[in-house]
Amino acid sequence: MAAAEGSDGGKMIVLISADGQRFELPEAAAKLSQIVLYMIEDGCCYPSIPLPKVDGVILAKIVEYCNKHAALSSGADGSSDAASERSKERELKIFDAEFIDVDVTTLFDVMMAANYLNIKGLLDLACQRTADLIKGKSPEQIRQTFGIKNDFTPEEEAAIRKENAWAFDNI
Amino acid sequence: MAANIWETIPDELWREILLRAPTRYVARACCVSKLWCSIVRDPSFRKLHSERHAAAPNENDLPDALLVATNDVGKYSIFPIVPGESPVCRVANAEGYRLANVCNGLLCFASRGAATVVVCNPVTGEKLAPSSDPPLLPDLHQQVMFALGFSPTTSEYKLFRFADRMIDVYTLAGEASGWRRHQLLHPCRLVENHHSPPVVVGGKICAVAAAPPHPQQIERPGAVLVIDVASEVAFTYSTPDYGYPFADATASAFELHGRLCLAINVVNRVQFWAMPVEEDDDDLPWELFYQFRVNKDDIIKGFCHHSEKGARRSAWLDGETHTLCYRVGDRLYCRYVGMAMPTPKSPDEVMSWDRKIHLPVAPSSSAPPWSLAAPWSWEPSKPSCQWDIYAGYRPSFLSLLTIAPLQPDDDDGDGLLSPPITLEPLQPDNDEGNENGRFMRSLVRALQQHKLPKRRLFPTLTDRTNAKRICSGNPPCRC
Repeated sequence: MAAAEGSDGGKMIVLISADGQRFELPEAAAKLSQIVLYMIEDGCCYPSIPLPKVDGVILAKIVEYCNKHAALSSGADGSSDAASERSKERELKIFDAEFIDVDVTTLFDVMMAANYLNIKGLLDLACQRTADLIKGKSPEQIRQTFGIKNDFTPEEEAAIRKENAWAFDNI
Repeated sequence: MAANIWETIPDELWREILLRAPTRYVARACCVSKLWCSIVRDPSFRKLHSERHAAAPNENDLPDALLVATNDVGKYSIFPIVPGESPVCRVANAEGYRLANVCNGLLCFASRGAATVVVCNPVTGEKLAPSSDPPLLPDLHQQVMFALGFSPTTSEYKLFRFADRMIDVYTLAGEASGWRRHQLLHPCRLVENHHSPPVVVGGKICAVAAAPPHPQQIERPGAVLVIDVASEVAFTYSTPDYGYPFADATASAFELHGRLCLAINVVNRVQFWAMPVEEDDDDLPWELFYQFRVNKDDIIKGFCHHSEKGARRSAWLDGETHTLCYRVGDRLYCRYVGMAMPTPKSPDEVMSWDRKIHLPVAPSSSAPPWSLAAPWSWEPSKPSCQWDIYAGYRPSFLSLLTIAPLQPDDDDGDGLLSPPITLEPLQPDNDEGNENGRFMRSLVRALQQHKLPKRRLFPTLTDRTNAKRICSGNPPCRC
């Protein structure tokens, strides 16, 4: 029976990555993914949920994210006063900041997996981090960072640049 | 290939990413590729982006301060105080107009004498004037003041005109709403004020009124008028008790962490008092957060440089570096204050500035120092350009067409005014050789000097107190 009981008595869900790795996490954490939530509601989560689009390294990261967020937002310890809420929020913020401080390839994989699994908080976090990478860069640096091809003719690019001249340094 | 994985990102995700980037970098991102350009040009993206960044700002979207300079022919140059020296826009034909205030990404220009007002978005180059002027007051010589306000709860932009006892309001919306008039319960004298243009904090317009004339000619700030933009209800607050009742004092208002902050310069002190604007009762909600010293010479010197009553002052928080800035005449004082709202201080606690920067002095006007009308009166030469700082600018893609669907430039008989002032296209070198242009560039550079060379992505939560010593200024340093 794969639907094992977790240490705190909650149900455990098993996710299987594209390369066959097994990840066990509490149902509350797994439910952060809309896709997994629907599968749990439809009862098709046993014995395990295969995720053929996500490989093990990334799924490990995503499981880490879900576990942390589920543990800190559950409020199961009964201490729901404002001060502990704030300290939890702060802890999550610090966790998020460290979690997403990764190289662009990992960031890309995390974002695509969050999009596929429909984990709203993580998708927001990854998009915000990508947006932060755009900040302060010239168009050419942005193209280099994300491997985007410049499909403008030099005249077209100059015209668009002129249109937005206020946004560029040292015109 | 690893570099090309990003090409497989669905367009929808790029849209989500660009929605989260600040306006300046999104405008830059237009040049990246045709796909990005089409995302950014999409009107629904622009509307959503402006709602997210200008109208409902989060902690990543701290407002910029704008350097607004007018030269002696009434032409405005408006520069943001962010790295780079490109102006946001140049405004021509603005003679007789004054920048009344800045609200999100919109600039509100009001004519000095008459009653007309023009709203511009320098990013889109659009401008708009209400379809009618507010009805004139019986007393034509009465001073009036305009302000543009925004309410995040109703997403409405409204123009307000203040006079002694009246407020006239005009909603910038689809149907021409016309002007409505309200009586002010507590009459207060609102006049155009160089030290403190009205600021918009949390859906409320806050303006410092002029105090009633004092028998000993002491200049001091009057009451603070706070008008809720959505409900058009006004409250007045007394100014904080800054402790020097018999000395001249000037107040400059700006937004500090979602509160209204008044920087009060009295004697050689600058005190920063803040209050949350959601309170409705007048039980003196002011709290003192910072207190610094300024050099008295700087205040007095300012008298000589400008033919105004005193040195021009402005206060603002630089959102990028979390630095509190205070300008007196041609001196700029800066202090790093961190990201979080501080705890209130006792009146005895005086902090030190990190830096004092000497700003360049405007070149003298080319106009002869005597006036043709009165050649016998020989005045000291005037600077060729006057400048002020307007805090609270959040550049935005908001199209004025979406808030007022009438053609902004249309003057074919539907009653809509064709705004006289024009936004000039930016030309890189049009003032290179000009003395005023050189001065503006050196001024923008000087105002940015306090920026740290390296910006941290995730600044630590602890305050960096006393990390740098103030330069004493004697002998005058050029830090």
